[in-house]
Amino acid sequence: MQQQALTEAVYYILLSLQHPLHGYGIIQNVDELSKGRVKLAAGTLYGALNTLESKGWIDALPENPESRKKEYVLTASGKTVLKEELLRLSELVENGKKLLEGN
Amino acid sequence: MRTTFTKWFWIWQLPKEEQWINEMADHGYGLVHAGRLTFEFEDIEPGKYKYREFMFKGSWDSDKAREFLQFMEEMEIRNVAHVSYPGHTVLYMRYENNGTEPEVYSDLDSKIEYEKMLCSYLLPLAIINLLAFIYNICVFISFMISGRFNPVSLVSFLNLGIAIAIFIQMGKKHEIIKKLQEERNIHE
Repeated sequence: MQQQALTEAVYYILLSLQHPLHGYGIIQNVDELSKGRVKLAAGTLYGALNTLESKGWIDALPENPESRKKEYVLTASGKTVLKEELLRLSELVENGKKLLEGN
Repeated sequence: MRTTFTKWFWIWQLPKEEQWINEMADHGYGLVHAGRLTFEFEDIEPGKYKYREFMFKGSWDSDKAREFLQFMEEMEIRNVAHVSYPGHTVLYMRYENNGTEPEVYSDLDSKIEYEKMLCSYLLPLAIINLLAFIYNICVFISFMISGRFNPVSLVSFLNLGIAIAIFIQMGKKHEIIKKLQEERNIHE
């Protein structure tokens, strides 16, 4: 079955987790990547991380006793999903350019 | 210094209660404890914090609540008080004031689900009060027919008032849900 479109928040969360990051780090990273346009609220991030973990797209790393902050990282299947989404987005952009700019 | 204020808010008045707590914070009173009727504040720098009330589905001491609050702490959002209700807990969360309105959710789906959850919590309360009104008014009428007057049954009008107030709030929430769903159909 063809994968459904990811929300912008989920896309940026997955993109942020190519290296291990904790929740606050993800919020900062998404803010930076989107140049301040996408502001993730804590409750949304919490729900998204739980869902992505249950789907196997991200993994929670064993807790670091020094920081107490839980870190997450992208899994192989998460990376596949991200690549498929990138293809979908490219198609959107190309079609948009073709029809609007006549390229 | 700590100061306690006594104030009553109905359960469907969470936004009004939240607004009052934020006004108190703007005047240098930071919430440290909340009860059904009493609110305890400590002196803070005026406007340093913003508060957000959030109804959590589950009990205060559940694993789900503990995990959620631990995550919030990691985000530097502190839960300063809570009030338990059957099956639900109202959390009072404190954010550093950075000039923006703090939100628990930034995505439309979660906002819609949250509003629906509030409605499903309020609906049984409205129905119970409506049934109490109908029962008591029937008792009142039967007393009247038998030539007696039972003023206690007139208290049932309080139940009717509560039921109407809840239904009005639910109507407002349905409007919010409808708008959010329309927005989601276009933007997400």
